[in-house]
This record gives sequence, C-alpha cells and structure tokens, in this order.
Amino acid sequence: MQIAIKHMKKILSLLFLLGFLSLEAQQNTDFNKQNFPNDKKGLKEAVQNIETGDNYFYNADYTMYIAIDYYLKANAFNPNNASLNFKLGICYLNSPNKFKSLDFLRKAYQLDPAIDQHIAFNLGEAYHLNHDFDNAIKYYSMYKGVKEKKPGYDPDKRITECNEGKRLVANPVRVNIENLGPVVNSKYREYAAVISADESIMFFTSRRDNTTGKLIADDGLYFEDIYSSTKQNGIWTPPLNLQAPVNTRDHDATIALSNDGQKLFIYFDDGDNKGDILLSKLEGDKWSKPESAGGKAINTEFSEIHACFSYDEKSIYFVSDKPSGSIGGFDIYVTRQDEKGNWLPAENLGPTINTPYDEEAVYMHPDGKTMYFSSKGHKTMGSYDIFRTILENGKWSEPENVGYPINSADRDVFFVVSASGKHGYYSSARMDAIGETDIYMITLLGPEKETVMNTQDQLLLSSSILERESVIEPKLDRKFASNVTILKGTVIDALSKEPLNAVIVITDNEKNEVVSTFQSNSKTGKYLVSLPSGRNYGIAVTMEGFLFYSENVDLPKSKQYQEINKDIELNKLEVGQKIVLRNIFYDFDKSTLRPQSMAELDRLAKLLDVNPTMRIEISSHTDNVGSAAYNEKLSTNRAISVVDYLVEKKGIKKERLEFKGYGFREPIAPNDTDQGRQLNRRTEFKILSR
Amino acid sequence: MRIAALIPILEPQKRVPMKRISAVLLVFFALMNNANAQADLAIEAYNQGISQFNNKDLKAAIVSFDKAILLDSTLMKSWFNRAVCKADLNDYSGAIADYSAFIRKDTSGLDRAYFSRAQAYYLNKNKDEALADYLKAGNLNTSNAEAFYYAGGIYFEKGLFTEATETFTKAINARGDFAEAYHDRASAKQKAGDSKGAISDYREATKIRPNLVSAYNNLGTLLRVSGDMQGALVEFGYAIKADPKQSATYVKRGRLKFDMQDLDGAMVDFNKAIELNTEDPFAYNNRGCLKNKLRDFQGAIEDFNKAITINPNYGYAYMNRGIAKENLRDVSGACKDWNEATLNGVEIAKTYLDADCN
Repeated sequence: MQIAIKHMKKILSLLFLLGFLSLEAQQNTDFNKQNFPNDKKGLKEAVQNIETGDNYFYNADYTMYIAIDYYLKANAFNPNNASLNFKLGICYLNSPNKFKSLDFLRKAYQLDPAIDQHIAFNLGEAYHLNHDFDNAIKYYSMYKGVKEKKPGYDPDKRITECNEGKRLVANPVRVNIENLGPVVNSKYREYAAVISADESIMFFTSRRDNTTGKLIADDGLYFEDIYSSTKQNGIWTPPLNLQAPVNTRDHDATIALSNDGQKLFIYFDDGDNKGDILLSKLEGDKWSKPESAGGKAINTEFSEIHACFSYDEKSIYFVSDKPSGSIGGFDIYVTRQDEKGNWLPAENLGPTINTPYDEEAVYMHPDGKTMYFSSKGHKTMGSYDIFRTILENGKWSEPENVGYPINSADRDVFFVVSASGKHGYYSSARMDAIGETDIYMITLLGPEKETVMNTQDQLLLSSSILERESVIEPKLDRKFASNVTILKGTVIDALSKEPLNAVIVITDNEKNEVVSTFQSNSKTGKYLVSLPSGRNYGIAVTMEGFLFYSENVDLPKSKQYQEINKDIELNKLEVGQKIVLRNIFYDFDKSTLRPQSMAELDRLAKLLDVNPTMRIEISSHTDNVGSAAYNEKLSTNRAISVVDYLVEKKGIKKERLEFKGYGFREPIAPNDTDQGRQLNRRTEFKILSR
Repeated sequence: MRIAALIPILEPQKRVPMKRISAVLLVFFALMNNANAQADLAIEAYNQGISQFNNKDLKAAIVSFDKAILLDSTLMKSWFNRAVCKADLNDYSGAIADYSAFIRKDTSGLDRAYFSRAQAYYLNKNKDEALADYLKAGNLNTSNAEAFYYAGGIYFEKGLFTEATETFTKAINARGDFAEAYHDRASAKQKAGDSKGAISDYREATKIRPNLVSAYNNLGTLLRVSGDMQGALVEFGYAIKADPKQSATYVKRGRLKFDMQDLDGAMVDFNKAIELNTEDPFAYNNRGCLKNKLRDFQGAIEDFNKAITINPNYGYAYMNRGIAKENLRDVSGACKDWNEATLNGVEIAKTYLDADCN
C-alpha cells in the first residue's frame, strides 16, 4: 500500500510537470524586442529571413518551397511563433516533402488554433499525408463547421478518401520498391519515367544542373530536360541528355514512349498554348524535331498534358481540360487513326473512366487492353491515385485502385508497367530519395506466396523407408500477369549484314486485317512489336529491293508473357532466292486455301506487280505422314491452288508462274517432332528470272 | 525392407557308428572306408563352422563350410549355412548362389530356403525375384505369415496397392494377431483410396498392439487430410502417450495445430520436436513456416537454414526460405533459393522463378 501511494505521488508530479511544460510550449511568441531583449542581432536576422521567405510564400504555390530554408532559420531562433509554424506547414504542403508539414501545422495549431481559419483543414491534410487517417478525419470534421470554406477545400471528400486510405493500408499490395540508385537519380528532381515494353530503355524528366542552357525557372529549379538511360546486363547506364532538337532552353518533359522505344511524346508549354503534346521519332540515332502529335485531333487552345499510344499505335489516348465533351476537369480522350493515317476527332472515354474531378497520366499497357491512369475522382486515398481498368468487348471495366503502397495519400501520377507485368516505374519523394523526387522501380509481387510444411509417415512397418506426405503445391496468383508476347530483334541484309529500315506489317490472320505497321531502326535494324494474346498473327517484313520475310505467331488467349528474339535477314531480289510463305494455310489434308492466307497472297501479288518481269516457282511441301505418292499429289495440288489464286483473283499472268509439289522430299527440319513436321509443311516461292 | 533374422540350420551332425559287418562286404567297405573318412571330416568341418558361427566368427565359419562342401558336396546344410554367413557379411550374391544350390538339391526345407533367398534378393535390390521367392515360400507353407507380409510390402513398394492389400490379407489369415500386417494393409488401402478401410485396419492394429505409434500417427495424418482435425488431434495424442519421445509425432501435431490456427500450440510442438531430435529437417522447416506466418521472417530464415544444413537437397526448405526472403524484400536472394528449389524438384518454385525472377 505504501509503495502504491509513493508510486501515485510520482505519477502526479510527472503529470504536473508535463502540464507545465505543455502550457509553456503553447505560448505563442512574437518576433519582437520584448520577447528577445538580449539578442537583437538574432532577432533582426530572423525577421529578415521571414521577410525573404514571405516573398516566395506570397508569390505562387510553386515557389513556396523556396521559402522553407529562410523560414527554418527564423524558426530555429524562435520555434514558438504560430504564424511562422503555419507558413512552414503550408510551404511543406506545397513541396515534394508534404509529410513534413505535420510537425509545423500541429505546433501552429497548439500555439494558436485561430492563426488561420482554414488551419483545421490544413492540419487534416498533414495527418492525411502521414496516413494518420483517424486524426485527419478529426480535423476535416472540425473544418466542416467553418462557414466560409476555401475554394477546393472539401472536407467530406477528404473524409471519404481517409476511409478509403484506411481500407487500402489495411490490405497492402505486395511490392518491392527500389530506388534506381545514384546512377539514374541525382540530388535534383527526377520524374515521369517512361520505358520501352521490354524495359531496355528509359526516358525521364529531370531538373538537374546540366539542363540545356543551364537556366533556372521561376520556381527556382533548373528547367526540365529529358534524359535517357539504357539497361545493359541488367544495369541502367548513366543518363544522357537528349540534346536538341528535343531538349530546348524551355521545359521539356517526357510523357510517354512507344513500346519499341522509337517514338517519344513530349509535353510542351511555351506559355501561350496552355500545354500541347508533341511527338519526336528516333530516326537512325537522331531524335527528330518534336511536332504536334495527332494535330488538331489532340492539341487545342486548352491544356493537353499527357498522351500515349495504344499497343498498335493506331490510337492515341490523351488528357485534356477542353470543355467540349468534358465530364469535368482533366479527362481522358482517345483519337483513332483512319486507313489513310489521319487522326479522327477525339472521343471522351466516358463516365466509367472520367469523373467530375481530374484524370491524368494515362498509360496503355502493351497487352492492348489494360489502361493505367491517375484520378482524383475515383476511390482514391488522397489527391491522385493510380487506377487500372481493362478494355473487354469494347467496354472499360470499373477502375480499380492499384493499392497501397503504390498509391499514397499524396499525388500519385505517372505509373508505367513493363510488358511482362513484373515491374512498374514511378517517381516518389520517399525517405530514401537521393533528391527531392527520385525514380523507383516497383516489383509487383502479387499475393503472398504460401510456404509448404512437410511431414513424413512410416507407411510400411516392414520397411525403414519413410514416405513424405505428398504436397499439393500452391498456385501462383498473379493479378498483374500479362498476356502479351514481345517479338524483337534486328532486320539486316542477309548478304552484307547491314541493318535495314524495313517495314513490319502485323496482320490478324483470322480477320485478314492489318493490326499495325512498324519500322525497324535504320541505324541499328532493331525492331520490337507487342502482340497481345488471343490472335493468330501474320508478320511480314518488307523492304524495297528485297524478298519479304514471313512469320506466323499463334498466341492463344491464355498465353502468358514471353519475349521472342528473332533476328531477320532479308534476301535481295535475285534469281534463285526463295522464301517460305509462313502465312499460307490450307484445309486439313486438302489443297483448299483458307481465308487466313489472303494477306500473304496479296503481299506476294504486290511483289509481282512491282516487279512485272519476275517469274517465280510456287512450291509446296508436306511432312512425312502418309505415303510419298499421296504427299506428292497433295503438295502439287496445293501449289496449283496458290497459282490459281494469283492468276484468277490477282490477274498475274499464268506464264510468270510455275508450280511444283515436292511431297516430303525436301524437309527443312527432322520429321520426328510435331514442331519439325510443322516446319516442313510449307509453301515457298523461288525467283526463276527477273 | 527390414530383413527378418536369418534362421540357420545349426544342428551339429553326428557320426554314423561302425557296426559289425560281414567278411563279404570287407572289400566293399575297404573301398568305402576312404569315403566314410571324408564324410567324417566333412561333418567335423561342418560342426566347426557351426561353432564359429555361434562365436560370431563368420569368416572362419565360411572357411569351415567351404571345407565341408569340398569334402562332401551333398551335405546340403553346409550350403545353407554358408549362405546365411555370406548374407550376414552382405555378400548377397554369394548367399543367393548358395541358397539356389540348396534349393536345387534339398527339398526338405524348401519354404525356408525360398524365404531366406527372398531376403537376400531383396537386400541385393532385386525386388522381383524377392517377391517371387516370398510368394513361393508362402504358397509352400500357407501358415508362413511373414512370407506373405514381406511379399505384400514389395507389392506396396512397387505401387501395386490392390495386390499388396490381398497379400497382407493372406498374412493376416495366417496369423490373426499380426498387428504389423494390419498396419501395412491399412497403408495399402489408404494408398488405394480406401480411407474407411484404412482407418479400420489402423484401429485393429492398435487394438492388437496399443503402443504401435506409427498406426496412430498415420491415422492422425489420414484424418487431418480428410478434414477431421479434432479426430486427428486425438490420434496424435495417443501416439504421444504411447511414445512421448518420438519427435516426428510432435512435427505432425504441430502441423495439424497450424492448420487449426492454433499457432501457439504449433510452436510448442515444433519446439518439442526439435528438443527431442535436433537433426530433424522437417521440424525446422515447419517451424520456419510458422515463423513466416507470424511475420518473424528472419527467424524463419534461420530455421530454413538449419533444415538445409541438415539436408542440403531439401527442395521445399529452399522454396520456403525464398518466400521468407521475398517477404523481407530480398528478391534476388529469393530467386537464388527458388532456383535451388527447382533444381531439387519443387515444381512451383519454377513458376515463381519464371514469374518473379529472370
């Protein structure tokens, strides 16, 4: 009992002391001589720092963060001034390090809750940004009682966001977030990273000191420039400034990159146009001068700020705040290319995607159906969150928040995902950032994997052998799993081995329509195409003066991500040269041409049209299933079918065409596997004369 | 398969006494004298072999049986007992040859010879011949329950569970209180998908031998897999009561408790298992899984490390360690472990490698 009373006394003493200190801490102390009679010099410096800081604070939101250094010096002299703490909090709310605002706003509120009529909302924001959702809700709720609210201060929406934040933080998605390190990131700001589909090249925006012209913008930072880094042996190389004509003395910022890394969308704002989207193309090893992307279909007198291609580059998704057709604020639109290459009038993606609030940073995944975008309007946990939606049967699915910790209560924009679905890239002002904002790679780990326990049983007493209980192996659940094939390589001259600037035409064989057309790089011969699963693709590589190359890629809908490396050698149009026509199909065991063959046959007819004196032999080959006589007859009839088509449907003169059936006399692969037999079943043509 | 103790034919041979003989036969006996002397020497060598065998000097016994056979190759017991000695010295081929010689010449103890040769064949890793000999031994003497029992075991090992069940039944028919045969028939029935029959046989085995720990354990596993968690818990309790020192039972019960979300109870059991047997990789692996579930990823990794140290080819321990490493965001470490797991035959680890590494 004695001990308990003694203990109680100690606690009461401590509470008294804490109460006293607390009262002391809550004393608002002005910067004046009465409060600092013995340090006039220090007071003068502090006041000067506040005045300098005020110049930035009252100038614009984007210059507020510059005031921080001055205010912090004054705050070191007198940490108990409500106004200064409030301004420091507001400055941090307008800086990349928003979460630092909490200490100052809390202190300001303690010193003088009436220092600003909107401080409850700001304090709510600070708690919100620090993911202290309960306290955030408390202060947002308090702000609901303020009669004259600041424009844009919507406590009800913020409370909804906090509740969503609580839900998302309680159910985090499993990711590994890695800083790309000091080779890529600098002490300056890096953001808006965009990648090629195979993650071999990255472009990003930086405000580092080697910007073109080395000029400093109004916000006190170097002007934006675009930089590139390539991945070699799994390591990102030191970034290179893209130089003119892409980078200028103004702001030049990345928006999006085509899957093959050869077309770059750039944001351009010269102050007059409110922001337009430009496109630069890699021609050989030089980036072209950026030009308006999509013309009037995209750029207007309003702000166009983000854009990206669809996987086939036949559509451009973009973000604009144009009022016409808008659902509210910035919306996502799409413009499609017609057969002549013109960009058609843009369409709003509709209310499933766009909300009365802002939508930004649209990114179409190479799988052709998954779109990532940022929104303030959908179920966000604060400011912009990143959402994911899937296009199926012409309709977008309900956007789904990609979850915490990819999303935070802060502004989460610019999220790009590799074709494999394994990695995402974004920028953030995390604690381990080298600069104010750095580029991070997120490894999307999917749900937590199940460990497996083992036990063993002695099933036979006559044996000393113990049997391990059979294990039902867990299944891999992969939300971000990608159903796309990346076909890439180089196109070169078979003889000289020089790279070729060839045209790559991707055809949907079932629909007999061209899906997309790309070009290999003239300097390197490199090409990359993304092929979403669920189609049978005909791939034709053509170049004037060369025989075209034909490939068939059949991708069932369930086919998971894969990369196929295919270096293609084109042969010159010379007598004796021959190629395999991989996209000519016959009915099983018959010589009837299937409709899926038409694109390939039309390509062949075109080659004959362009070379009117050329004579060719069409030959057909079989595998070794069945008798030699049977296969000879079948292959001959198939060759005849091709010749007949070219003569009857395409008007090619009969005397320019010869046919021959080889049966299985000339295999190009062993006939002992399905794959080998498939390769042997083929149609070829050979140049007989030119 | 555990081999039953070899049963040598060890009766010492007695000399035949000389009787009065007629003069007419003298010449014949004169000729025979030499042969009798040899036979006497053979018996002497044989008896010496028996004595050496009893003194556990098997090599010397073989030399004596060699001598006996050299002096009298028709003394078939020498062949049999030399085979016994050779088998004991792990010379199974030599034993098989001697048993075969015995079987060719002596029809008096054929069932025993087939049984012994079956054991030698089995130990010589020749299961088909072993099975054939056990069945011959059993068919020659249908009361030879062991012959059917071991034959059933070989059927089981060959994955022929219906045949195993039938043959174990013959063993039980030969000896109604054959607890081991009930136990193994239960396992065969379990493998064949007859859970009800298996449960009944395991219970019969424990009725005959209430301290048959593996019957309770197997029953516990069977019930756990079928979803009767409480029933399984009871059986593992019986197993622990029968032998409180068997670590494997605690590993099994710990796993059951884990499945029942009794994580504290699981931890107690895994700790006990490790206390009883510090070299049980399953105990460490399972405790690692439990620690992983409890978010003690570093502790989990330490347990998986121990499991791998004990058994460097333990694929699931690598896979699980990879999972714990991934939970610590050591993705490259996880990938290395999943690669090791793949090399050690864990299929899902290959899926993880493809999905999250490379």
